[in-house]
Amino acid sequence: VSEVTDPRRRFFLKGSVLAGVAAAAAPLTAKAQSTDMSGRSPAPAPSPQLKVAEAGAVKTDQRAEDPDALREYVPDPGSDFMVDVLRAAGIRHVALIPGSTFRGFQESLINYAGEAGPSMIVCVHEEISAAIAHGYAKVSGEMMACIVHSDVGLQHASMAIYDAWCDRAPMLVLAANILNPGQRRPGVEWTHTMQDVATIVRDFIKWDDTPVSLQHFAESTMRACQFARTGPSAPVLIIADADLQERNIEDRTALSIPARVEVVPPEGEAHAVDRLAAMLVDADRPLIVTDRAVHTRKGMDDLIGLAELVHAPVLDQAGRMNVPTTHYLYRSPHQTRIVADCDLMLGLELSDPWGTANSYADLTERTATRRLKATAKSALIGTANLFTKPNVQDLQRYFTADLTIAGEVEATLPALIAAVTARLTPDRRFEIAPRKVLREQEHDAIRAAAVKQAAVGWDSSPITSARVAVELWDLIEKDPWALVSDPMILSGWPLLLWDLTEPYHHVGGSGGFGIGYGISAAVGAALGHKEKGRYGVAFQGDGDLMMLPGSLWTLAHHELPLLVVLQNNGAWHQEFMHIQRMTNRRNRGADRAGVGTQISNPAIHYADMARSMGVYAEGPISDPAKLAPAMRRAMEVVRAGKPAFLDVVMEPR
Amino acid sequence: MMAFKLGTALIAPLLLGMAGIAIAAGPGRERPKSGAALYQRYGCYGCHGYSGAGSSSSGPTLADRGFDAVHVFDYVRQPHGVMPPYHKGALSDADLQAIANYTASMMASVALARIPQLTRLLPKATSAPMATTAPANLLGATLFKTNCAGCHGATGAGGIGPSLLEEGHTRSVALIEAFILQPPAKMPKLSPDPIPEAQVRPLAEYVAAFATRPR
Repeated sequence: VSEVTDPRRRFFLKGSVLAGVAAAAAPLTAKAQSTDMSGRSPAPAPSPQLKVAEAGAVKTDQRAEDPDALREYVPDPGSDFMVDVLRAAGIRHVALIPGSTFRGFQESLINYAGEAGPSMIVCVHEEISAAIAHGYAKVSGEMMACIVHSDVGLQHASMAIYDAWCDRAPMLVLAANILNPGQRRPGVEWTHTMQDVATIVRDFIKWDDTPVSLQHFAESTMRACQFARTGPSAPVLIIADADLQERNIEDRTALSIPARVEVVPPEGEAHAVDRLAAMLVDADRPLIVTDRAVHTRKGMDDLIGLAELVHAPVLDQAGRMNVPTTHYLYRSPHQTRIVADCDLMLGLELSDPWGTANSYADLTERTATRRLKATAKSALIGTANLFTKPNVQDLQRYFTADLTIAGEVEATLPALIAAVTARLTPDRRFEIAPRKVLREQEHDAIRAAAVKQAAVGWDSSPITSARVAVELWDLIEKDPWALVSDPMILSGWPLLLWDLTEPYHHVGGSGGFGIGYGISAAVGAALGHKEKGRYGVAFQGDGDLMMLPGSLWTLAHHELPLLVVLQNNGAWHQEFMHIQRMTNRRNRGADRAGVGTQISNPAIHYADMARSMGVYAEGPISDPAKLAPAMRRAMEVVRAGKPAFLDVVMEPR
Repeated sequence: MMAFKLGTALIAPLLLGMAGIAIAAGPGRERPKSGAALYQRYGCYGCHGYSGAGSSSSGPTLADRGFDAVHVFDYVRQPHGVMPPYHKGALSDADLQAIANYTASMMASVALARIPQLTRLLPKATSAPMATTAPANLLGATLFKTNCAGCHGATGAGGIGPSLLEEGHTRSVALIEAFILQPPAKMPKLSPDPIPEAQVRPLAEYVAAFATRPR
């Protein structure tokens, strides 16, 4: 029934009526369950039907009382059953922009789903829907669904699905379609139908199916969700046929919904793990490199425990929040150079082992330089060998490791810790112990250098990214905050200067570098944090914002607590630098790199744009002295549970 | 202070949506003469920032690094790292000279001690003496990374400053130490602040060891 989870607008419905799958019988009447979830009008009073339902007096099969009902209405539509399936699969939200091929499903969300959910997150573009599911999954640890309108909607959503694939994030995509030609109206329903819709995204989803019955839908959805959650996680797609959605269920008792079952994650093979333990114990300068390794508090604790056993610095590439930035072994992505110092590199769920071990210069002649010493050993733990597809080249360049273990990092760490502990003799522990103070001093030196660096240009306008990060940190440090944008967007300053200590303090980046991810995934992440009593903060590129500005409307519509700080650098700045490089290389027009790479003439009034969609907004702010006061005002709005937006004229990076 | 240096000539076009470059690209335009304006026109800010603050994701800090104009001029023509070279066809000697003079004049805008939001972020252990007996000379490595790598590159292979890879062959550790303590005009003086004199030796040893590293 609901678009949002605001308890102020909830009805209390008795469990006997809405007890999920078990209550898969009669829908409550539309009037009984519909509420205005926008918050702009009060919830309607409980209807007489609802009162009867709460008293347990509603018949579950209205057809029994009205044998002619089928001629007039569909009392038990298939999409109600689909909603039950999603609920049983643990799907709490479905993001969507309306589309006729899933009108039946949407009506079931409105009038059947009830407080048990799934709730509806309303969007203005399918790419936003999919990106919200991406951001939500990384924060909540649970899959979210988006439903799209056949081939046209899936094409819109495809960019965000691609990002999620590259980012190894799970989501359930439902694409509605009309398989039976006899059920299609002439005209648009034919152009909005494909015989194989999934082909649009099949190169970057883990699995898809086209159920031809409701039972098929139930089993394939459960299978898809299992696949999506098991490493390497990835989006999955199920076709929700419109005819199945809209047709009446003749016999509910013939249908069953499989129970959700958690798959035991793959753990590294024991002998290989012991070999790796020996390598770690023997190494004099071991280095751990992490990317998308950690998803839980226990995983983070285990990773810290492993690193501390041998005092190995952890170069965190920030695909996920792996290690607290305050820990003496934490090294930010800026410290890539330490790869050259190690004699063992252990990579944990790396997206690019080769790019970690090598540097690559974008000069006229592209050249690679090996960063990792030729004498250094290397080992990898990850899920890359468990599943992949050939077309998308996100596997990066092939890297030869001395030992590669297929398995999920979190599942393998306990055994690895035990093996390392068993191999550490008292003498070896004694030899390793002095490393700790050195690592602590290095950590302090890095922090001190970052602080010193952050002072450069402190009073300049445009405002430096360092100052923006520091001023915000001053305001949020003691709050239940979480960074929901790519932690590297602001030159990675939060990773250098903020105390990120919890697994949810950031969730990495887009994965696929498809712009538009930033603002839209932040909406999904903010939804996940709201459920946990936290709020989000996001540093947002202006180019990325203009790809999917309608995300701001969803933020306001669902009253999600998110502070968006716009890095207004007036350009697609990465491309500006690329054109600059080209002009230099060709020895012409080095002063023309801004042509076609700058967002100008006219300038965009971002704060006005945000306000037009119901978001509190200020800006443009170019005076550094006015930054902190504006942030304080915006944070008051966010702490009250609503979004706020600040347009800050910033240094390009 | 930096804002004053940049002045409204730089800030105003940004606030107007970066109109400056598109206008500047048109025929018959009047060429700006000041180093600050040229620094913007030729896109130096794109990697190094309007203030010279730079960024880990684009280009190093230029402000407060003690670069002299001659060095900057030469480096822009023949950079050693990933920076693209500016040849004469794209950037005249006169304009480059003005830019070099400007970048050489860049300074940090505010002393760190005057920014409480930053000083409170300093690690508490910073004042503690650092160990000098690390088996792999980690102190030297840390000092190099913090104070030298910005100019000489992370691996000592050179950057805006010259390569140090052969220093160990051409100078003794003691001579390198003396060089750091009494640097030539083009190189910033690093000791006793920020590197205490007692820590220059391990730094010199670290630099000397470049010559023996496998490459």
